[in-house]
Amino acid sequence: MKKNIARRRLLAGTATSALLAALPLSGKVGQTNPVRKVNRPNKIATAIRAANLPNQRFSHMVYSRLGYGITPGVFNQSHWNQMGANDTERLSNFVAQQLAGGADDPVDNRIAQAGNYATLDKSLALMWNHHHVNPGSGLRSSTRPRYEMQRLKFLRATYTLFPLQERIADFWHNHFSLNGSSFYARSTLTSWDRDVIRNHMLGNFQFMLTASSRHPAMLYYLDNYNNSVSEPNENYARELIELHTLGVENYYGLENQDQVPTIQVPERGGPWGSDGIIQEFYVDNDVYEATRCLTGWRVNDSSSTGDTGLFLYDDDRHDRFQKSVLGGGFSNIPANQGEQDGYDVIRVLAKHPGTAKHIAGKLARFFVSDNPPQNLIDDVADVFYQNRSATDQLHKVYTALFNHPEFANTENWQTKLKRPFDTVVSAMRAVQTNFTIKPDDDNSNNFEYRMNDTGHYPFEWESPDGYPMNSSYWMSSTGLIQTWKTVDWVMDRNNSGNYLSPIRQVTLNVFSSNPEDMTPENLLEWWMIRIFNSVPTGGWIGEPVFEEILEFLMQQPPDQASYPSWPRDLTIPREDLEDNAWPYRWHERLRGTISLILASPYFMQR
Amino acid sequence: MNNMKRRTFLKSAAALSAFSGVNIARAGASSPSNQPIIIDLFMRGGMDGLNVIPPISGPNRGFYEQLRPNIQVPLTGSNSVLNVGEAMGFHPAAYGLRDMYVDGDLAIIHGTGLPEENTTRSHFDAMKLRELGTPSSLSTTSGWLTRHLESTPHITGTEIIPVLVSNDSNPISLQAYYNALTVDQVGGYHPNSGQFGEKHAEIIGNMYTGNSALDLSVSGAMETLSIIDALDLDNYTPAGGADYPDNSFGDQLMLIAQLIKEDLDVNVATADYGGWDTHNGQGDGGGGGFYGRVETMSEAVRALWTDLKASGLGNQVTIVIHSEFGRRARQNGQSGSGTDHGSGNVMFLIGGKINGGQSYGEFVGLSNEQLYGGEDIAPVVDFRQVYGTIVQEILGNSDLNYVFPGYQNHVSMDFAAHDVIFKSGFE
Repeated sequence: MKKNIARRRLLAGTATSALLAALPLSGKVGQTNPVRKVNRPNKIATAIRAANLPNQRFSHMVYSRLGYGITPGVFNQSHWNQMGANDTERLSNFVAQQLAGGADDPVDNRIAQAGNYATLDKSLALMWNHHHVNPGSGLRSSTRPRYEMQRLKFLRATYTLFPLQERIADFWHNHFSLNGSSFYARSTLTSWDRDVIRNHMLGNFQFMLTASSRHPAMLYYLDNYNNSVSEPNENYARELIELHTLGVENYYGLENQDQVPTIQVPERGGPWGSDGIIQEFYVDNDVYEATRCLTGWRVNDSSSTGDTGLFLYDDDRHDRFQKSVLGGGFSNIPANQGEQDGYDVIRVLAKHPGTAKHIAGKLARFFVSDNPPQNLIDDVADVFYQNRSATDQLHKVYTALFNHPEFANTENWQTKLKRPFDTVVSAMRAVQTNFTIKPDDDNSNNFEYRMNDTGHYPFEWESPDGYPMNSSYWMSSTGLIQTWKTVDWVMDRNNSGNYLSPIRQVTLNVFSSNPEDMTPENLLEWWMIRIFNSVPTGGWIGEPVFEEILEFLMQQPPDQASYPSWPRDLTIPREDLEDNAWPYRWHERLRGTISLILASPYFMQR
Repeated sequence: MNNMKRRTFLKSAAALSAFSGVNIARAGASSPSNQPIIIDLFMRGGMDGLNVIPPISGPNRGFYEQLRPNIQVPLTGSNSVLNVGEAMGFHPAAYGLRDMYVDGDLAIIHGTGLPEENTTRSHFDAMKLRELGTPSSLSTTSGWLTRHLESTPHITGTEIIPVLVSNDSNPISLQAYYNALTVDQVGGYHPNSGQFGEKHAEIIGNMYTGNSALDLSVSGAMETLSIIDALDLDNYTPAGGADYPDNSFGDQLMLIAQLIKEDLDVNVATADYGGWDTHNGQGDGGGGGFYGRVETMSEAVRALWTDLKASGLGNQVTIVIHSEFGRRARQNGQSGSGTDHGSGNVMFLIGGKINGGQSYGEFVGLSNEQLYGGEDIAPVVDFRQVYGTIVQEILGNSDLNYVFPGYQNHVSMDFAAHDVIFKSGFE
C-alpha cells in the first residue's frame, strides 16, 4: 500500500460552522417575527469539557485565548501582575497594549536571520511581475508568496510580542478564506496578508471588505474576474453575502424580494434610497442582482492592458441596467452607474445590521466559546454597528469583546479545544522552542510534512468558509493523533545533538544548585507549574493527571525486566540526564513527559 | 457504549504482536460477520449530475443543447456520451459507472434533493441539512447516520469498529458519534514513535477517562491507534484485479475496502470527494476539468466495488454516491463555461442488494416549465426517501421515525433486491 495516502482532504468537507440564531435587531420596522423556512439553533455543539485545569488563573485564561498561551519570559503570571492593580484593569491594559502593537524584534530578528523571506517587501505589482508574469525557480517561483506565508504564519505566531494580532489575523484569514494554491493567490498571498488583512484588521470592516473584493487572489478564487454580462458567475456574489457579510443565518431562501421583511436604517441615498428601508434578510434574487452589479470586475492580467495584476474595471463586460439588491423588489441601483454598482453592494452589505450580528457571533465563537452567550453577541454587534463608519471600528469591537463581563465569566473558560495550529504553536511557546520556521530548510520541511497530516496547515482549506472553529470538528482520531505526533517531533528534533526544544538544558539549569532535588516528582512539578502557572489546592502531587504523567516518567525500562521502575522521590543522576544513559534514558523520558503535559486536557482546552 | 469486543480484540492483538511478532488479521471475529454495510460517498461542492447523466434523445436533448451550448456532452466525437440504449446516457469519463450499470449493480435515482420548501443554494447549509437528515432544521444535535447506528438491531455494542471514516475528520452525518475510526493514512500513525511509545499512548488514554465529547474522542483515537498498530495494512493486494486510481480518493476507498475485509464489524463507512463547484472552467465538448473529476470518482468506486464483490462481500455492501445539490440547468450566460448552484440531482446506488441497471425517481425534464423555478432540475424525490428505503430494506433498521424525525409517509422506492439469491443467479 502506498505509504503516503490521502494526506489532504479535498474540498470543504464537513463545513460545520455553528450557526447563530437569527435574532430580531433593534431599530427595525416591519415584520419582527418572520416565518423562517429553517429553524436556526441557539446551541449546537456539546461542551467539550474533559477534566479542567485546576485553579486556572485569570492570566492563563487570557494568554490562552488572546495569545498562544504561557510563554516563559514574556507572558506568564509575573508579567501579568505588572499590567495593573487587578485582573480587570490588567486585561484592559493588555488588550490595549496588544492592539497598539509596536516593534516586534523577536519576529523581525528571526526573519532577518532566516534571510530567505524574499517576498515580504514586494508591492502587489512587483509580486505579480516576479511570480506570475515572469516566474522562475526558487525565490522567484510562482508559488513563493504562498510558501513564505505558510511558514511565516508559524514563525510569527510562535515568537511575536503581539500574539493577539496574530489571532485576529487568523480570524480574518479564515473569514475571507481563500485557498493558497489557487492560481492567483499562490503568487500574491503576501500582498493579500499585508494589504487586505493586516492593513485593515484593526480598522474599518467596509474598507477591508472592499480591499478583499478588488484583490486578484479573491477575484480569481471566487470567479468574479470572470463575471460578465454575457457570462454571469454568481460564485463571488453568493459568498460575499453568505460568508463575508450577512451570513447564512440571514438567508430567506428562494422567496421573492418583496416577500422579505424590511427594516429602516439611518443611511440615506444610494442603495438605501430616500427612506433607508431595506430588506432584513437576503434571498436568491439578491445574489443574482449582486452578481449583475459586480460584472465587469477583472484583474489586469492581459498584456493588452499592461498585465499589472491590479484591479481592472471593464465597462464592456458590465451589465448596465438597473438592479435591486436588498431593495425589497424596488430598484435601488440605477442604470449606467458602472463600477459604482459593486461598491453600492459592498456598502449596503457592510453597513447592514445583519452583518454586525454575523461578525459579532463569529468573533465570540472564535475567541470565547462554541456557544457564546447571546448578550455578548448582542453587545459586540451593537459596537460593530454603531461604529460602522469609524476608521477604528474593529479596534473598538475587539476592545468591547475582550473587556466584556462574559469574556471573564468562568463559565466560558476552557470550553474550546485548541485547533492543531494553536496546540503546536502554544507547545513551542511553552517550552521555548528555538526554531525559525522558514523556506528551504530541512527542519521546516519535516515540520510541514507532519503538520500537514493534522488537517490544519495554513492556507490549504479549499472551500471559502475557512477552517472550522467549532471544537467538535477537531475531535477526530486523525486530528488528535497527528497533532500530538507533531508536538512530539518538536520535542525530539535535534541536529547533531542540538535540540530545537531546550528541555534538558532548562531542566539542568533549574536543578543545578540542588542536584539532589531532581527527583521525578520535583521535576514534573516544576514543569507543570512552568507550563500552567498554577498549583491545584493541595499541590500537584497526588493530582490525577500529574500522577498519570509521573507514571510515564518513572516507568520500568521497556523489555528490561531486571531494572525496576524509578522511585518517585529518588534523585535522578544529573549525568544520566545529560547523557541520556542506558537503561533509563532520562532525556528521552523527559521529552516524552513534556509531550504528555502538552497532550493533557489542561493544555488542549482553552 | 459497551466495547467488550473491541477491548478483547485489542488485548489479543497486543498480546500477539508483543510476543510473536505476528501481525493479525481477522483476529477480532470469532465468526465472519454478515451485517449490512453502507458506504456513503459525499461529492462535495455540488456535482453537476446533469452532465454525468445527460439526456441523449427526445425533447430533453434539444432543451439540453439550448441550455448548455458550450458545456454539453456531445453525441459524437472523441468525448461523446456513452449510450446504453436509453434516453439518458453517461458522461464519457463515467465508463466505470456505465459498466456497473450495464452489469446490473448500479441504480440511478433521478430528481433527488432537499424537499422543495427547504431548497437552499448554500453549500454549507445544504450539506448540513442532508447530513443531519432533517431538512427543515439545522439545530438537530446528531447526524442521521449516528441515529441509524443508535437504532439499528445490527449494532449490539460488541463491534470492534462499527464506523469507519476514511478522511481526517468526521462528517456531520456522524455528528455526536465520537467513537468512529477516523483515519486518512495509516503510516506512522502514533504520537510517539520512540522506545517509550507504548506507555505514552497508554497515559494519554488514562488522562481522558470521562464521558465528555473530548474524552470519548480521545478514547476513540487511542483505540484507532491500537487497531492500526495491530493490523497488517501494508502490502495490500485488492481482490478481483481492482485498480484504484493513484490519488487521494482512490487511496481513501482502498482503505475502506481493506478495513472492511479485516472483519472488524464495520456497519458504516464514509468518505468525501471534493472539487465539484464548477462555476467556471467546467470544460467543453465533454472534456476539461470535469472529465478528470468524473473519471476519478467513477474509477475509484468501480475499484471499490470490484474489490469488495470479488471478496464475497457484494451482498453485504451498499455504496451511495451523492452531493449537496445539483447545478443549474443553464450554463452561465452565452459564453459561459460553468454552472451555478442548483437543487435537484442524481444519486447513484451500487450493491448486491440493489436492483441495478435501471433508473428510479423522476427526471421531470428540461423545458422551462419543467425546471424548478425555471432554473434547476426539479427536486421531486426527497433524499430521505432514498436513504429511508436503504435503511429499512437493506440495512434492516425499521425505525425510520428515529433516523429521520419528522419524515412522514415514506414510500419504498423499490430498488432493493429482496430476493438476493435470485439476483445473484444472474451474475
